[in-house]
Amino acid sequence: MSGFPARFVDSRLRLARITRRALNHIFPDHWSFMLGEVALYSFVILVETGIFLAMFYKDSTVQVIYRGSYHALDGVKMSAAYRSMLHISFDVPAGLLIRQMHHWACDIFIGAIIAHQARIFFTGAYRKPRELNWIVGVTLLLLALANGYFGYSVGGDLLSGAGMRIGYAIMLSVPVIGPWLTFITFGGTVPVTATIPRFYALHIFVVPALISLLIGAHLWMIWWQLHTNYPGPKRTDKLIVGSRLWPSYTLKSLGLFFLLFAVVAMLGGLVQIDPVWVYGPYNPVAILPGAQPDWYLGWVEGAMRLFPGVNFRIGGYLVPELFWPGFFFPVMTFAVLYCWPFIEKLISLDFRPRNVLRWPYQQPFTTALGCAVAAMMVVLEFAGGDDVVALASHARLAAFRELLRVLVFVVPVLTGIVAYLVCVWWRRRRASDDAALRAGNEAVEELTLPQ
Amino acid sequence: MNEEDKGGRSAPNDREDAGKTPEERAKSEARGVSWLLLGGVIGWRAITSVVNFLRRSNKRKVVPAAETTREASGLESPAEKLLVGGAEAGWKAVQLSARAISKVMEEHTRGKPPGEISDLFDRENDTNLDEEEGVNVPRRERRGTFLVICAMVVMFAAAIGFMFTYWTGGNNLLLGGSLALFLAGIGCAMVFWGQLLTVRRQAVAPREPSSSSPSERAAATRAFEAGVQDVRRRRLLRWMGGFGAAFAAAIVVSLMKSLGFPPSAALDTRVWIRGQRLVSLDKTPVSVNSLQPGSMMLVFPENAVGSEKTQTVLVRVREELLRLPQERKDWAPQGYLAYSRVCTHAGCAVGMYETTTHLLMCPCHQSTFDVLDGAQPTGGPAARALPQLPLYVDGAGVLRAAGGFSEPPGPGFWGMP
Ligand code: HEM
Ligand code: FES
Repeated sequence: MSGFPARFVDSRLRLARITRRALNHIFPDHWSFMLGEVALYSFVILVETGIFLAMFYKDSTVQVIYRGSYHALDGVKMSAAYRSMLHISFDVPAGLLIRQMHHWACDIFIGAIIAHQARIFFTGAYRKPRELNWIVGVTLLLLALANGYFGYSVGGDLLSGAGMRIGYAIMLSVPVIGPWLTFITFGGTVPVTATIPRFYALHIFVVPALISLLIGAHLWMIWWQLHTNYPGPKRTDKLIVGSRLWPSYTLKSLGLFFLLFAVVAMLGGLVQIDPVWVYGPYNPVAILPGAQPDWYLGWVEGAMRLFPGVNFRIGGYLVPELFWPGFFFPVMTFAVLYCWPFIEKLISLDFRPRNVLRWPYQQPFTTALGCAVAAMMVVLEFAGGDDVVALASHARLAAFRELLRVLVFVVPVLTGIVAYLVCVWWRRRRASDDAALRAGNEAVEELTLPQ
Repeated sequence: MNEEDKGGRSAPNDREDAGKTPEERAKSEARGVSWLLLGGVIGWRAITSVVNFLRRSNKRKVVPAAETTREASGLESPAEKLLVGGAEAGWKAVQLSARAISKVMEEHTRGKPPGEISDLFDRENDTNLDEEEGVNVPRRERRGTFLVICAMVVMFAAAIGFMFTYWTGGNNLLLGGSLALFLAGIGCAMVFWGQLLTVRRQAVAPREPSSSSPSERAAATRAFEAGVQDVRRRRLLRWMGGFGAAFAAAIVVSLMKSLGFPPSAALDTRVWIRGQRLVSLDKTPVSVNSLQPGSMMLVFPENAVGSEKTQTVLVRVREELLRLPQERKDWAPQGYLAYSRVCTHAGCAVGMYETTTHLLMCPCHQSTFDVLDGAQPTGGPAARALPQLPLYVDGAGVLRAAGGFSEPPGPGFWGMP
């Protein structure tokens, strides 16, 4: 740090101290800490590829006649938005590559967030003092899902049009404020020309800005509080064990970034995703059998299919059947997620700061609950594609759906019970090792820390 | 910081031409600049001629449309096969190295207990795990160097491959594959470097408590309160703040009005007006002879063809099958029935008709509606019947609406009648 640029900057900003502190920052070594980084880096890739796409995309529903190099749609009437999607896919050099990379990066982003959140959940990393970061994290998940939906909607193809219409219907179903909320969001009854520019502004500006801000807050909190440690020698609530930011962690983390980028480029080049030209332009009277939302909204779709058609009125006002699975269920899911660290406190009555993680077997109830919820989500995903599954297996759809209605409750309960028993068995097996570790670490703390 | 001490070390250039006179220095500089210019010109010529050559060869290659699509879809040419094979091999390598890395990291995590405990700021007491575990460092270093060089060769080759493909108008497959290899090369090189060519150290440091100490907290509170004490007429300030916030909120809420219009009129509409003719998508009026029993068509009111809200499905069934409620007995002249085509569940177009069961089906979540019975839902998640359109036949034998839909069409909402 004695080169000219460093000296130039430091003589003005007095950064030496903070730099030294940063370079010496300690990161625990465990592969599961990479999940959060994968989420972070896929967001970086999303922004980079998104900037490229924004150069060519048009957020307009003006109707035009297509005359481009994709001959199958020659002379077809479509929105300018959809035409620009075709332009990116067929005429812009490397356009299709970047478009597919963008979509793949989105799927990886959301997948990584969910995996990361699962690792936080199953190891108890959300406990005091990290509840606030859990809340920021849940908000990030929510924003990521929303932005996926907005991005999916601005394509102007038949599939995205269907998705937009269903989103509209869900919002409309909300009691009391639904109609107003919907008209303020969509600008009228769908499909309207106002909606795509709005979603586009949200998709490329508002939501990414919020995500960036919250990622900043998230990382700052991790930095300030230091990471947790997995149980192990010398890993106590008062000590941190790991390797330094510079150089080992830096090289590893940057390496991860480039490898992730490579995987995204590989998928973008070799594996087709969201071929909008196959679906055709949005047309309000066209039908598209077998349509599904992107996988990360499949659980809501599944709930919408399984929920029975019950409608009732409160004082003459209608609460439509769509409200419960489409709005109430996801909102409650997120409400429980937000409150989870505090709910857990009520169960465990543990209010002390915790910096050492728990292995899943050390928290049987939480693990069982998490497995049950995951199982329910899997069943709902299946239900979201039940027509395709029924078609493929020659089962009668109605019967299959009845079965799923049972499974959606039975499978989670069974999964939870099995997970609980496995945890208890495992904990008993490891009891003596764990006790020895705990005793050893207490001794370490006593010896090394001023009391 | 004492910069003078380090001046000599940090600026080797100064040392090199320390013994030269100013003229000599100027001359060598001029020589350097002219070499640079010459090199630049030659390099530029080389690049432009390569680019021109590539462009020309690109233009000469006029490929018939059929062939381009074959190229884009399949893995026909040997070059592509090679590349895909290479990519797969690369992926295998990535997987293997990831496994190796996670093994190394696992050992790292569960390794021997670390040595002394240092301050978070200080790395002096970090344990050297290589020494502690007796790792054969020279061997690991040889392996690491070899792997890093391999990764870099892949990276350079792939970068050249990407440029070449791009400038020759290459397809998605080759672009993605070469870009992936390039990035994987960088990534692998860095990971190998970090894992194999870096001393493995473990640090242990005390954590700070998660909350401030009581005295820090008290000091912060005192600072805040001292400021509050200095503010005069505190109550007025509080009122100002409160009103300011309330008015800001009011302004934001009123601005929201620009985003949409009151929904009730647009939602609570029956769409059709009595007397309107039913027309098809190509705007021809529908007559009583248009459909055979058991068939279906898409119709619109004549003033709004092709719109999402007005789309209506017209089916014809044998009259004796009808099971309409009493008050709708005359809504279906000669077995013609018209229903809104917008699903009452979530608004998809109810576009499928099963002739033998007389069911309309929505492709989105497979709700079914019985056309004989006023389109009551018989299966799937929809709870409300499709709104029915009363019909009559005019003197010329053309079908016309005898009024609006029985309910507002589309998915349900709070104020729905
Ligand atoms: C855009 C999405 C997200 C990004 C980019 C992100 C990034 C990160 C990173 C890089 C870390 C440190 C490494 C690690 O522990 O994996 C981390 C830690 C953490 N994240 Fe996230 N995260 C995201 C979403 C979430 C979500 C959805 C949750 C939970 C609901 C969450 C909760 C936490 C917590 C509690 C920690 C501290 C863990 C510890 O110290 O052990 N994050 N996050
Ligand atoms: S939209 Fe028709 S069944 Fe859901």
